[in-house]
Amino acid sequence: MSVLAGTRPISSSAGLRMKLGLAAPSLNRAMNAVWKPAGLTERYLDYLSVMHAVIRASVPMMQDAAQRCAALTDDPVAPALAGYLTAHIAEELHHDDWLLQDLAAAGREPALVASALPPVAVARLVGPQYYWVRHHHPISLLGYIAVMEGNSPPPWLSGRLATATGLPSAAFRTLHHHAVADLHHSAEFDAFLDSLPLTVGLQRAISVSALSTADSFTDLLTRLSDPRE
Amino acid sequence: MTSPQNDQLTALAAAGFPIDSITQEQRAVYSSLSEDEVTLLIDLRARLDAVEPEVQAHTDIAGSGMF
Repeated sequence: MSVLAGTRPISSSAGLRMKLGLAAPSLNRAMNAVWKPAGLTERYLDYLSVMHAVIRASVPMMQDAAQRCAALTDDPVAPALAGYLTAHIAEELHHDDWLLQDLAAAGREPALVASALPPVAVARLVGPQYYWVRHHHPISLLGYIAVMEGNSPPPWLSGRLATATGLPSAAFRTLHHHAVADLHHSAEFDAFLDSLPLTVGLQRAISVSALSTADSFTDLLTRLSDPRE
Repeated sequence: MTSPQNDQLTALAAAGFPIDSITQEQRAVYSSLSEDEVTLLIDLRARLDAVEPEVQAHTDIAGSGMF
């Protein structure tokens, strides 16, 4: 905790959420635009394809970050961060494969999706994490996780999308899983963040990463909902 | 109603953020934003204009993040 409002300290998670609150109007509008009715079926499949490109990096990024933690001797947060990431890796394994299965259920060819050149907007979203993890501090990855897990689909969305698109329920497995699981993950995340002895510098590394993620994800979603952008 | 008191709050207000209506806790947090954080937030604010009007009128928030 580094910021004081009057005499009351503000927790790390509360400070981060306040900063992300400023990002929320733009991100929320971009997220809603993905689900607008016009062209929804095709856009949902494009969304799954793009998210495959995004979340296939989740486990490798966490593995890289855990390895960096192991190399940081005498770092006050690295051991706890490594433990959090290791547990999280087990929870996120193979979700990229699930997305390919969802796409197959909807009639898209998984091999084509997996082999396509990922959009530049995906590299701009995910790429900074690899840089910060390797060249600054693996704590940065928590900012990315805060945004991507903290803005998961609501549980009701998969049912509404199935009705609106007519696609089989198997095409919504990954979406529904994240809607349910990430509610728990976000609460767990805040508790973990507040348990760490974060310096001002480490808090800033997390929030810069989070705001960069919010900015890049907003751009990615806007391009998805309006390809002219 | 309060007015901006430092460079960070002034920059956020100029970009259109409703700084006049924030709480004391938010003021403390936003006053300590780094230059990079302010730059990212201003960039995000500019993206509001990229969304179509009918989507902007929609009130339910349906997230689309996955990790």
